[in-house]
Amino acid sequence: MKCREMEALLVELADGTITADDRKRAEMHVSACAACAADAVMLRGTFDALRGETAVRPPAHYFTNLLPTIRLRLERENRPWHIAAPLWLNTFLAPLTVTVMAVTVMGLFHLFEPTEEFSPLNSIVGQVSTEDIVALISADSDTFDSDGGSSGNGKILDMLPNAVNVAEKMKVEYLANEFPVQQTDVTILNDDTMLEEMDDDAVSQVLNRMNTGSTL
Amino acid sequence: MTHDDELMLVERFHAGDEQAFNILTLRYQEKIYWVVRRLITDHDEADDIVQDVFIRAYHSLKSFKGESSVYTWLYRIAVNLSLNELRRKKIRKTFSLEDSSYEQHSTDDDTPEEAMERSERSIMIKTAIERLPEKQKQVFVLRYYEEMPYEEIAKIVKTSVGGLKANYFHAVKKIGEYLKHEMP
Repeated sequence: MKCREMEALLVELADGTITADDRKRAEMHVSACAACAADAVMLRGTFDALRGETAVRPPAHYFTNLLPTIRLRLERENRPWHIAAPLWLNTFLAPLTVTVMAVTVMGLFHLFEPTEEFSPLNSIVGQVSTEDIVALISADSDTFDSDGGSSGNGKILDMLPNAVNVAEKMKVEYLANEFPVQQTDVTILNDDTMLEEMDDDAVSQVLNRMNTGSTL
Repeated sequence: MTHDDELMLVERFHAGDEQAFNILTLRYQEKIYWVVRRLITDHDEADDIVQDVFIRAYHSLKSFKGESSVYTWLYRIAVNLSLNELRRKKIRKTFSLEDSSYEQHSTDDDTPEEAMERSERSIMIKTAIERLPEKQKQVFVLRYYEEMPYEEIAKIVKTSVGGLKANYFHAVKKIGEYLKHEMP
């Protein structure tokens, strides 16, 4: 038997797992081969040294905690990314998200906020009260007497000069800004007689056109 | 646990029974740990790899067809991940051979001198194993520490039984030569 073929048997001879038949073959070869005899001694010595090795123990409770640790990692893998993200990342993301949302909302608000030029009435805010305008628009025909002053409380007639004043200011404002205001509307509001002859709806329409800048 | 028992657990897992995975993990975690630990030597690194082994197994178990035993399959994953880690370590040239603590190698009955001597011998053996070529190290760990039959090892490392026996012989011989040279 060649030395190379003896290798496996020499290991088994040294670690004691060899069969009876193989032991006879191995011992016969070793007794006649100095190199293999030296290997046999070396291998036996190695196994002796290995047997003396102390098991390197893992920390206490390691195996008890291993499955829960694995389960925890699997659970984290299945979470949505923003929950599974590390704490430091969440700490950074939360304020960033709020800031981005706030900036977005403010930007949208600013984008759709009506400008002063777009709303003619805004240009004279403070010179006429909103209540006056609402009262003027919603006044019923009984209150708005045709003789121009015999109404129950005369409030609307008292308001008319103010309304005319408002219209005049609007006219100036519009012309200055080249708004497409109907001159007819300005004329109506400047003319007390025409205004007195108009019903509530007509007055409302005129004021509405003035407010929105629309045309007839 | 027989092969049929393992297959039954795998089928239960396929059907959505998470407990089946837990049973398989508890059954093999210790064996897998020791294989990895013998190859990697450092506990913390071994721990990471053992966790990776079971997490990979969890995701791959759905495609496990039962052609080999779960045991062999897990060993193959463990050995492959361990060897990958060893290759990474070799590339980084950060092999640390002095990471064993005195306490880890001592036993309760040792005197401080005995414990020190035992610890030194264990470190030397560990170093000798670490110096082995990859294939020999793999075969040595599975054969010597795990007492795995050559036929089983052959399935894991995909080498003939004859080749494995030769690898084992040379591994033991190299360890012996190193110890003879280093030990007083």
